[in-house]
Amino acid sequence: MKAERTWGYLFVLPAFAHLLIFAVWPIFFVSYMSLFKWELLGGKADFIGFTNFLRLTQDTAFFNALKNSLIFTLGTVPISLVISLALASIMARPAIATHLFRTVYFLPVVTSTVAVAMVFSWIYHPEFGLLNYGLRLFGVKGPNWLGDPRFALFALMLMTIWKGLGYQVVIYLAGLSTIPNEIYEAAEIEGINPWQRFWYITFPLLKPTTAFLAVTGVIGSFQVFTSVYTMTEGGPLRSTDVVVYHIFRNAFERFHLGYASAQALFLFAIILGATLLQVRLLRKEVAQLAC
Amino acid sequence: MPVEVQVGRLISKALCYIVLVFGGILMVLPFWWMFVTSFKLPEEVFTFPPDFFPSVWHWGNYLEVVKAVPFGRFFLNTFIVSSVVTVGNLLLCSMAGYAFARLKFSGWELIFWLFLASMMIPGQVTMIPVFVLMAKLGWIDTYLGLTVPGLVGAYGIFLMRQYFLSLPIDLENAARCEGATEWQIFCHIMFPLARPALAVLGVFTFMGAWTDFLWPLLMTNSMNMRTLEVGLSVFRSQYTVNWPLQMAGSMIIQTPIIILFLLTQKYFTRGIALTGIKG
Amino acid sequence: MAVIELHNISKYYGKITAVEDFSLKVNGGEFIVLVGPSGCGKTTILRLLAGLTELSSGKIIVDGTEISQLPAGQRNMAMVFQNYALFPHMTVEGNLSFGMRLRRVPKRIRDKKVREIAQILRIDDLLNRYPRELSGGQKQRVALGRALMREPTAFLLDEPLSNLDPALRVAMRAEICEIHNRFPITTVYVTHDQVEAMTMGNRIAVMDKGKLMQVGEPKELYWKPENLFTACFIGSPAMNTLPANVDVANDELILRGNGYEWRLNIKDRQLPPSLPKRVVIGIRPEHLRIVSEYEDKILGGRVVLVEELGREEVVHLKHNEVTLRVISTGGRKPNIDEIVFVSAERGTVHLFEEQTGRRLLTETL
Repeated sequence: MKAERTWGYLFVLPAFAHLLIFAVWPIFFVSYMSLFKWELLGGKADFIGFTNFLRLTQDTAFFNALKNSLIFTLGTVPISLVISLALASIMARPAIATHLFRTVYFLPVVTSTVAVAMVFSWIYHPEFGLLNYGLRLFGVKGPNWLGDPRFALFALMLMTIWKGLGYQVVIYLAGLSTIPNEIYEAAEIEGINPWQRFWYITFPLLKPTTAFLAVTGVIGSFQVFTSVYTMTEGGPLRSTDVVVYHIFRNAFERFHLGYASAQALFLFAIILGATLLQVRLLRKEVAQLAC
Repeated sequence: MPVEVQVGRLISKALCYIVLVFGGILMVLPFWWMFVTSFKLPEEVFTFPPDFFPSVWHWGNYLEVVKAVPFGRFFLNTFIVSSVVTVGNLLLCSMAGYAFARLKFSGWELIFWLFLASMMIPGQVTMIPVFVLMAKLGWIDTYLGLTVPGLVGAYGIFLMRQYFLSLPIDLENAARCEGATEWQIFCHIMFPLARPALAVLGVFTFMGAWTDFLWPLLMTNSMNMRTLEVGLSVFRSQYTVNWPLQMAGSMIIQTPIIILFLLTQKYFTRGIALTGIKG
Repeated sequence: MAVIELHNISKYYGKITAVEDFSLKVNGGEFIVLVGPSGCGKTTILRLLAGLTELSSGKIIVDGTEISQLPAGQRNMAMVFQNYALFPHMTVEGNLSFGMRLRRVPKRIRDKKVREIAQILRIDDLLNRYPRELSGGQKQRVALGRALMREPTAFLLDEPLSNLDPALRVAMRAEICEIHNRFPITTVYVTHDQVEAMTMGNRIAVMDKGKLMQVGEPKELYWKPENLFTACFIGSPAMNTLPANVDVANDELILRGNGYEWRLNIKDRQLPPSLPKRVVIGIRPEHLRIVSEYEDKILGGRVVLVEELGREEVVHLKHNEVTLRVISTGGRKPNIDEIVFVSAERGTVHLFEEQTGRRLLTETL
């Protein structure tokens, strides 16, 4: 009906205006800014064409940041998927008190990243930290986690896995709960063992969930910022200088806004590319997610 | 049932619990460690082996933290920002979500698709231009700058749309036959009926805004406008080696979130079911 | 009492045709039933009437005024939905008074009306309950009550009884008819259940694939079906159909099928100017009788199934490729695989053109 349509526009209007101002326009404007030598706020900007992008291709610091982000992503996403799937499968078993465990595992997800980063800095303390104390019980002398370029990024990854695990467990639990019990019972009658049960039924049926977690996980880990800012500030020796942190420093500490815009666009292209690639690879699974 | 089978089941159940309890301890340990350290004296922490229970509970750390930085003000700022953002999302996301679910205006697919696509844009890409915009408007270091960019989210619109789609369409038709306008249908029927989804969206948004870091960091300069998260980070940089003080500060900002989470946790599980992630 | 006229109404959803060239006049105060198999477009007609769906073409006229373009809220039609569509967050009282509250009717008048309607429907002790605390029948009553709260131009009921269990359905059927007698408002009632249609409607409109097949009083549809579809849809068990070739000899119409022959007396009958070669004979199971081999029989068949209904049996016979259902009351219950013979009561045979399903003639006594 006609009135219905008019109301439809009115209902969407505020959200749509917001979308235009805070998502669509910025994409164009960041592209525009990337063509300028845009220093300091409000200062005069000089048009320099694609110079920022040329500079980008030779910027070893930026590529170092990209490399760190890549290591970070590859090191966190698959491992946390495996661990969370294992935990969720155990929790989903009948006669396990899921509720309490779900709360406990989800706790780190909701809490403040800054506070978590602070307590982990303390846990990673080379002499009096909890982690090295634990290692010493097994006769291992722990390194200076955050002070050693070989270990700092690893320490951040460990914390990120710890913090995000509960979210993935809960999503997997939701996925597991949608698998009808009859399927398992039918398999039971065929004489399936628990291992086969997992590989032939649970895992294939959870593929859409895994696809969702993989896609969002990759996007999320390319955007990691707070823990780096709080714990290492990119150091030591730029070993934890991840890409978003790098862009942040360029834009808001050195005020190279134009150049940072070019970097941000480059990051956007990478994330978009990675997402599209994943969506392509997992096309069937993603299609099942869309409603 | 044969005894071996029963024993086997018992063992496997025990193994499951061992794994889960071990993992659970790993999850909780950092919180406990934060808690314990926050009650120690600065020199007490450098002991080996570490004490998991302090011999004396020093409340003094908390007093010192509150004296050092205006946590009360941070708390107020965070509360204002989170509340405004939450109210905005509840209202605007449900309106847009309802329109996308039911009011089939022409071109809705395109606009909806734009919203979905915007979820793919990382905040870090838009942050530079939006920051420039905020600076031009003079909104830096104001509540406007902290709240307005977060008033609507594509995720919330998607969530609300999913929920509205699940409600029987005849409810609206019944109201329409009674002579209700679309706005009345939304206010009297759909909005009240969406309470479960609104609760989920509200809790998610509130918690998200409460623990947001990067944007408030960019938007605030003065101590008076800091949110808890940013304030804590500033506080940390002032007391780098005083671990008990740092932990006390962390406890102060952590505790309200944990309590809020424990009170509202059913919405988190429900929210995950609502977003329609199928197995 | 409003007269509703539907003129050449069509509704398309993209390439799908929901309703095509549908015309119908509903008289003031009439209880008309739209009946047909699921997907025949009957609910679409109702929604078009209510203004919930836009017409693709055609006109809706109420008491001489065209309302095709009016939004639902201004048509003053009351609708009862299949799933009741009670507002779950309002009490029974809230549901009943919803429309009045929207129109800002003073509370005094509102309360009086709610009480009056609640008493009629015997839901006055449920006013403070929420829909989830009601049984199916109670929900149904509340939904009816909500529709009765104003004096609507027309009542539109969309399969209102389909969610009730059979016993309750019969009781509510009577109740709705009583309500209609008390408030003789023009009513359009949609159902897929032909028994419901036959028992409730002043007139019945039979639909199939978006088209109107026949309108008429229940008796008319039963005795004079215009086409094969109506013939088979009305009546249970459904009418038997036997394909046959036609020959005319003297005063008789000779119908020959595979292994049967049937002669109809057509003396003094007006026959259609040209008879098609192939026809379908239609005869209702209740008009067939099981007879002995020596009586005047039409055909014999092997018993494949006997459904015992207590008062009667439905005997399924197979004769070559045709299956016949015969209602047999009293007499001996035939055995499976037994060969039995049937004859038809006089004046009960219908003849349809095979190609179009159009009725050619109905045998008269």
